[in-house]
Amino acid sequence: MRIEVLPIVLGALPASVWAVDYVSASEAEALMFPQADEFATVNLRLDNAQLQEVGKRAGLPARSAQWGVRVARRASSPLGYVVVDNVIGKFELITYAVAVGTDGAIRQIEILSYRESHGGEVRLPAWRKQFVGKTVAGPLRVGDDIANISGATLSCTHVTDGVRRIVAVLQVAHEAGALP
Amino acid sequence: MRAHVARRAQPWLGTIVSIDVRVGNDGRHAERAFARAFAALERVHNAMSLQCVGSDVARFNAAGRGERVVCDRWTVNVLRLAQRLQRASDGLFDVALGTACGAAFDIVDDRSVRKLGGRIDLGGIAKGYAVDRAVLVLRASGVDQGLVNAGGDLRAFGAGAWPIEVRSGRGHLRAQMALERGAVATSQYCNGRSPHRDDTLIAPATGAAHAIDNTITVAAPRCVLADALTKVVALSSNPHHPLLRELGGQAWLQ
Repeated sequence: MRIEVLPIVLGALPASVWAVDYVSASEAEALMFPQADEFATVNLRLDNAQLQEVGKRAGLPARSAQWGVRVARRASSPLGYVVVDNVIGKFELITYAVAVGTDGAIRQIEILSYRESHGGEVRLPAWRKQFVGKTVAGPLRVGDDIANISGATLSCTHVTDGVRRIVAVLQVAHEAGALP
Repeated sequence: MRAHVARRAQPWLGTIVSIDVRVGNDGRHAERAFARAFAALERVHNAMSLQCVGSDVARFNAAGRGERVVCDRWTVNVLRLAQRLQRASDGLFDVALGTACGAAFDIVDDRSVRKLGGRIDLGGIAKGYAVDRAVLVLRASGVDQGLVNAGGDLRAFGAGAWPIEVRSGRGHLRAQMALERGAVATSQYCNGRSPHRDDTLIAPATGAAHAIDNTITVAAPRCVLADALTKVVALSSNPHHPLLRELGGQAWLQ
């Protein structure tokens, strides 16, 4: 183990946002349904009764009536669905994809992109060049809590809520015959 | 062969777990490694999460006194380590809740424990253990350089340093570190700034609430140790606690 504490560089630069991109939406769907030979988009438009039903099943407001669903198929028969969604993490947007089987079971959740804001102080970055992870948009942050809820913990809760909403949307749409 | 950093992130153990690996051109090789590492995280999540229905921890907490609880081998590993850390820290580190002075469990064998009383919460150790498991799996899958970060409990492996920033409760930069082949975990406890319940750390042995106004950063060879040692440092308020040296750790109060 080697650990070195470095001097903090403080500057007066304005707060900024950085993003870590993990996978693209199309890479994610291929990862989550590797056996699929076709993906097609179905645009759902839920009516008021369906929105209420989603809210009831998910235990949270349905938020949107329109959802783009990617249907994964193999030899024309449906394997499941992929939905890409955004939620607010601590302050910034997180983009994630959820894969759900035709049985309604969650198969996989992948974070596509994670954005965070910097504080006002910015480290200048000569020292970062020595690192393996220098292609990471921002350094790895630890201990960044507000009342002990770290950005990552809060983000996870919001992603979990978002997933629950999507599962309810897919169920309701499936029952209405809007999805194969 | 050109190497690059490939990365994935998934939500597990109540946080976002990201994995960065340095890989060659064979993307399929990295995909297999990622899949196996996330499967290890899922296994820890399913066995040790307090909220996860049917987890070993949930079944232990629901079991009656004297009952034998069959567990994942990994849960028994963690409980065994927890027992050792509890003794070595004179009770500062303890996964038992509500047992006052007694132990919550006895280890029966590699697959089961006997409940003596109370409840357990592996929140102070399971994330670190999960990170270590993911690192083992990545190495066994042929990845020789990478980093696993479970919402701030992280471990780097292989050659090359990684940049770490320690942030305060208000998001201010407290320290910058360069980490190579090792783990880092932090804890912080704000002193009366917020009504949030978790702002105080309860000393397991006495039930006394400690309000600590510091960011505690611990580096250790394994993430499970860094994770557990943050509690020892927080409760003893001692960044030179002898257990750190014994386990190859180092702590900073910022």
